[in-house]
Amino acid sequence: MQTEKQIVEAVSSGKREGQDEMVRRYASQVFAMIVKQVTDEMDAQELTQDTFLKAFRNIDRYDARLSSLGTWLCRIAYHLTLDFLKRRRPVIVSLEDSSVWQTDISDEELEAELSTDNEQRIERLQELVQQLSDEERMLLTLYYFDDHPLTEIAFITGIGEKALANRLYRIRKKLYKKLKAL
Amino acid sequence: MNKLEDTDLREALRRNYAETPQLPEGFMEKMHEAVKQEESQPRHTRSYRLAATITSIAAAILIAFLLWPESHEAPITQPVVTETIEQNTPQSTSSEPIVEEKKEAPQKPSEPSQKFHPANKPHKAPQEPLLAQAEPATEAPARNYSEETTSNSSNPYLIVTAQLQDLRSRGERLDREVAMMMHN
Repeated sequence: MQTEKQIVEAVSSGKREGQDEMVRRYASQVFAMIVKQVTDEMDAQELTQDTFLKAFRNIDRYDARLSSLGTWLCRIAYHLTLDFLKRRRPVIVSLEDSSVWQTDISDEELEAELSTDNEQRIERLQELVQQLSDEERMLLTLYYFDDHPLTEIAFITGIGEKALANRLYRIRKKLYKKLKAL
Repeated sequence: MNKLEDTDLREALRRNYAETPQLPEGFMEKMHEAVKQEESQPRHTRSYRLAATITSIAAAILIAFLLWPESHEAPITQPVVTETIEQNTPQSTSSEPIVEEKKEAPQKPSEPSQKFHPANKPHKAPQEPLLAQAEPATEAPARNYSEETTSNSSNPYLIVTAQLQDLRSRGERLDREVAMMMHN
């Protein structure tokens, strides 16, 4: 079984085996990340192909010290998907509500509000998540569904860790506010 | 930062993505086709772009360099025209700068201007020698211009100077013709 380093070297040398191994190992992960955001399967497949083509072209820019190969591929997929979503549909303005910022609520309180085990609230949250902007929804998915640590999400999105934590906090706060309005 | 559980939110997301489709089996073949297509496209498109960019920048610099001396021609030509008009009147005193300027030029066009330099001659008298010299005066700059361009084609200053002299001589000739018409 080839290591990541061997795969990268093979792809860098233009060897087809290296490319095949990379696709075999990471295509499912990349596709799963993309298809959650892009409803059409064919579009998701194309974006997955584009991700790997871009990775092959830019393999020399991969730095193993900064991230794993899978995370690097997720980063490419993330940006391609965001661009695709922006082109495909009008920009969805996030649930901006100026009164949200007036509510002073701690993380613990937010967590308590978003962890009630209440079926109705879960269903409502399902709807509210779909109303988020593409970027917000992707951030939530990366953190809460894919369970990526903040450092990895920071690398994938290009957003600093602190700013990322702040954004996640704000998104959760918005959801809480909307839930409260029910 | 502490990891937040937000169990309801996690559950909502889990349910949203519960039916996420899997990657189809024929994906690898599609990937091979995509890679082949990518490889069949000319790789030197980037180098073409780079070459096109460099060429356009070089062309812009060259055009700017060639045009730049021309922007200085206007102030030079205007005083020459006014000075030639003044020479036809008895009060031409500003011909000396023209002579001096033409002395700097290495070619023949300086000679005709020297001949109508004196202000004392009557209007009609200089017309004949001017007319006699009009043709060579107009021809010479052209020849000189071509000689200059062929011999010193790399020196933009000489090219521009020759063009300037050509313009001057044309202006002088026009002025003489107008003067003739007025007196006739």
